[in-house]
Amino acid sequence: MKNTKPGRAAQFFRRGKWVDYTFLLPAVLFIVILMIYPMWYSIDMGFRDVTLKNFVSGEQPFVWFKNFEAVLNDRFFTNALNNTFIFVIVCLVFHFLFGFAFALYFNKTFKGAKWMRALLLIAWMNPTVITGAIFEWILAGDIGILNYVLTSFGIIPEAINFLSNARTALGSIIFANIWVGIPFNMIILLSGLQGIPDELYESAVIDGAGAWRKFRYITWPMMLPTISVLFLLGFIYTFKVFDLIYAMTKGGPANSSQILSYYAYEKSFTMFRFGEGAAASNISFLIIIVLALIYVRISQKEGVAA
Amino acid sequence: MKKLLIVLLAMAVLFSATACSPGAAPSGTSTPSEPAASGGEASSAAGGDALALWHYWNSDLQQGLLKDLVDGYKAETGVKIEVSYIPYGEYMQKILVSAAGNVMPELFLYDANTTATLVEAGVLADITAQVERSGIMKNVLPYSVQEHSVGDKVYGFPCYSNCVAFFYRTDLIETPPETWSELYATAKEVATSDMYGFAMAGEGEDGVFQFLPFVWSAGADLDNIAAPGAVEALDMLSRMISEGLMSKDTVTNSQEDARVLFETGRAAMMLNGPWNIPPLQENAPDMQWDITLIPRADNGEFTSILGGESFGIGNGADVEGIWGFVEYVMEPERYSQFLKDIGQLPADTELAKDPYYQDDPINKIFIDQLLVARPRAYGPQYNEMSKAIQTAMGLAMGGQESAEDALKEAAETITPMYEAFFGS
Repeated sequence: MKNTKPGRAAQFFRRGKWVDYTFLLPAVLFIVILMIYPMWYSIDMGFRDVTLKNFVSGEQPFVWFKNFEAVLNDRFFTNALNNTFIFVIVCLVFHFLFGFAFALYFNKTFKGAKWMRALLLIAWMNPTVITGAIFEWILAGDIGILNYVLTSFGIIPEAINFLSNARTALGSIIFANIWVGIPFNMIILLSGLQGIPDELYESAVIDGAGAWRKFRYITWPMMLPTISVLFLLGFIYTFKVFDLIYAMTKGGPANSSQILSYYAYEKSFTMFRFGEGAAASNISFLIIIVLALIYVRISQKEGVAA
Repeated sequence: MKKLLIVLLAMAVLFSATACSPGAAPSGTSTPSEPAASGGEASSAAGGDALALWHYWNSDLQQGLLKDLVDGYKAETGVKIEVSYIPYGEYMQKILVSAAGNVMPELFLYDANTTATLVEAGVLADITAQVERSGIMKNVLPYSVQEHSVGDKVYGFPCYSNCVAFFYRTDLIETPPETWSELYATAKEVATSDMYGFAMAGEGEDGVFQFLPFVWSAGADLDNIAAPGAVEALDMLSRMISEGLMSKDTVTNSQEDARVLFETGRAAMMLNGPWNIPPLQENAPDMQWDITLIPRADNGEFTSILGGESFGIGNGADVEGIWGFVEYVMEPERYSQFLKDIGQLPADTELAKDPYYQDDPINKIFIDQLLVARPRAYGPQYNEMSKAIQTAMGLAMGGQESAEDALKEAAETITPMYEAFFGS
């Protein structure tokens, strides 16, 4: 029997923790350089006076909360904030309703189910800029197909200029974004549904439960963890939506479909007020973090199983 | 807890690192042999002593002509120029980022109306001395020179100019309108349930681009965008929209959309520029149309607005080195041929006298219109002024506010900026 006492070199490398950290190093480096540093740079820029004059060269003095004040006092910011909340809440509600409906439908296996599910996924996989361009053409007043169909069937007397009318512009981008997000919700909810053991349903049937009671007392409670994750993710994704607005309305007409992400973009890249744009982004970031924290507190409290 | 501490520590280290530095990149001269700054497709002045030329032209024709010039210059002088294409959408960002990284191209294409913005950012080099010496701007339209200057220093020179003119259907309209009242009357007369009287762009900068000639014609300007003349202009256009003489989609129409309406017979008159003539001729070869000057205010003058593309030299780049190429390109015969090949109009009044332009009925109108075309030379905050006008146009054309109220709101934003730049 060989006495396998490890040599000096092998002993050094067996110091467990160091080896572990070395394996972590590439990932940590990646996150620090590509995520934490840009985030920090952006947060920092929100507190400095950065405009065209000093962006390329020159001093960028620390101005504490001046940028935040300027942004919060801007009525266009308040407008964008309101629009963003309307946008997010309406989208979330309809994403969930339609997503759940489709998920329930596809929970049963029937002929062609797999194909239909794949087709529905296209809505979500399509590059959003292209989706935006397509919806722009569909909803156009003069050349749009939706108006053509509606007026031909006499459903509406004359064309509605969905994207040119300040009253309908926000509704139009909400409409487009709902279409984009339904498949994602459906997939997540479907996998949640399929995780519910059949025996629960079988025993419920034995006890004489109808469809509604099955849903209310089995499906819904078992789905709660999935649903809460979905709402959190959905909120974050919808809050960040940018390309759809860029492709469809660019926040117009007259800022009626302006949302926070596009507002911050305009401030930085069209008006070159980089400091204020960063401040707007920081406020956006803060809102999301607060929400995420609330979610974590709630799910810890309720002891929701993963 | 321990992990949180480590993360906070790391962030504190980063923070102190950025706080110690004086801020953004230090100002200074760049050396042409520095490698490209940010990772990306275009490389700036590459290795060796090649000079860098950046552009965003994406047609084979334009790129081919550029290559011919560069190759010709190399054959004559042996100086190598590296041409880089950057898509238009990323162009401005690329310029600013490269400037921050202190690597500027020797020569680059840019939108003349952003001159003040780029000067403010320290991106454009002062070429007043070189321009004086070579005299390449001595015959250029005065408004164009103004567009390329800040104060009395010149920072760029035009590659070509264009402007906006008035198109109309000759089979539907016998005498084109000359004044705003006539424009309204003609539109009313000729509009049908399938066809609008008049089409123009109303979206974003395109919209402001086409609206400003109306403002100027009435004698108003951005010092007070709520002046009666401007209000009258916006009010007339809004009325035409609400009465169905212009599309309700005007607010989301680009200049291209306006052309589409015209060429599909859904509009009898339109405002547009020469760049939309080739597609118009291709898509509607049998349509009978002609162009004329943009209708003026009833007691105003004919005006138009300057567009076009220009060249600038990077601040800190090798000005003298690239100036040889500039003089080569601007040599009258070569430059004149280049303009004809690329299908654009000269900003140079002497070159405009060429029969090629004077004898062609369409080009002649544009050349005449160029003489009264004014620039958007309102300083580095022009984008914000434009946004305020876009908002006003959206509100008035959408019928949410009266033209007067909408423009008054815009004036609150614009007038202070105007006075800041020009000094009231």
